[in-house]
Amino acid sequence: MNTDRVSAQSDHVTTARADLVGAFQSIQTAQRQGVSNSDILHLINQLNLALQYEQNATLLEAQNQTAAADDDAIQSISLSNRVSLEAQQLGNEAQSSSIRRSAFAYGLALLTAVFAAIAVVEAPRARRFLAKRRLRRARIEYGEGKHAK
Amino acid sequence: MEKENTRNKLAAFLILVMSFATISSATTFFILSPRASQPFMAMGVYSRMGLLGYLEPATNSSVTSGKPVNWTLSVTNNMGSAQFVEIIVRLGNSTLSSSNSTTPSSFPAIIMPERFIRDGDTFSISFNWTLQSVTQQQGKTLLNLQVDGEQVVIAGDNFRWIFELWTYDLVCGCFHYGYGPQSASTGVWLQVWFNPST
Repeated sequence: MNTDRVSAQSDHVTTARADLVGAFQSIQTAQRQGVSNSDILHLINQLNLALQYEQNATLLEAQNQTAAADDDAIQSISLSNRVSLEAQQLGNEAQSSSIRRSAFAYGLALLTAVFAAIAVVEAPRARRFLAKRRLRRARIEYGEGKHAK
Repeated sequence: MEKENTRNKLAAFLILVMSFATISSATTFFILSPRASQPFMAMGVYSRMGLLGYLEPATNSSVTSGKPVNWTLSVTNNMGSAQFVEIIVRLGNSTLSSSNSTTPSSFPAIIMPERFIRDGDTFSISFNWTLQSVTQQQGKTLLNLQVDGEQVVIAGDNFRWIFELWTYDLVCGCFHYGYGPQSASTGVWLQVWFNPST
């Protein structure tokens, strides 16, 4: 019975370590997905707190204070899981916003290309149109000038 | 005649669209791409008097027994992503060699603080130690130290503290010496020599 209890508690410390690494991996993935460094700050602080709990748990376990070690390990697990979840959410949001931004930017680039091509192809017609308008205006001005005199 | 003109115009339009699309897409790609930077990690050991890392024995770093020594270790992360780091502090004498850019030292580790660091951040931790006694035994110097509350005994000469930076590698699931991928990591280490005096 006692052996089972000790084994369950050391399992918590092992899980705490594994969850810390899992949360760290989630943060790195979130950064690759485009989460900003300022959004990461809060997660890193939480993860350092979880690390402190895990280190305390390891220390207490070595001193055979298994109940206290178990408490600290559970605190660490809970914090790590929360960080992992938040990092995944931030990562997903950053990824979809990055896809939207890229789609908008490339869409704008294509639209600019189409308008630029229209401008070049239709340039002679536009030039002719402008020349005609200028000519028409010039005639009117000439006539007005004549009347004024 | 007009039909051919329209066809030519359409062909010119398509060629122009393709050319402009290539140019504007390349520009967009350049604007959206993250700027290239050289990733690195750095470590420093400080006292109230300033930076302490020495590669050669220092002649003026006498440590008097009974006087607490308070240093600060700082690590800077500029790797482009968060890092899980461990600093291994070793106490060395003349028997073994120090660390180098590829291999860590084989002196036993005294303390191994760990920390998560965000990209672009520097974290500092204090490193407090006291030389408790210096005795001569069979022609060798025996030091009794207290490091962060732990008792440490070392005999020999040419005493020095060695600080190594280790980073967590998610591929192997372990800490490895230096930073970067385990197969091509760059070792980061410092050592501070001291002369014990009573």
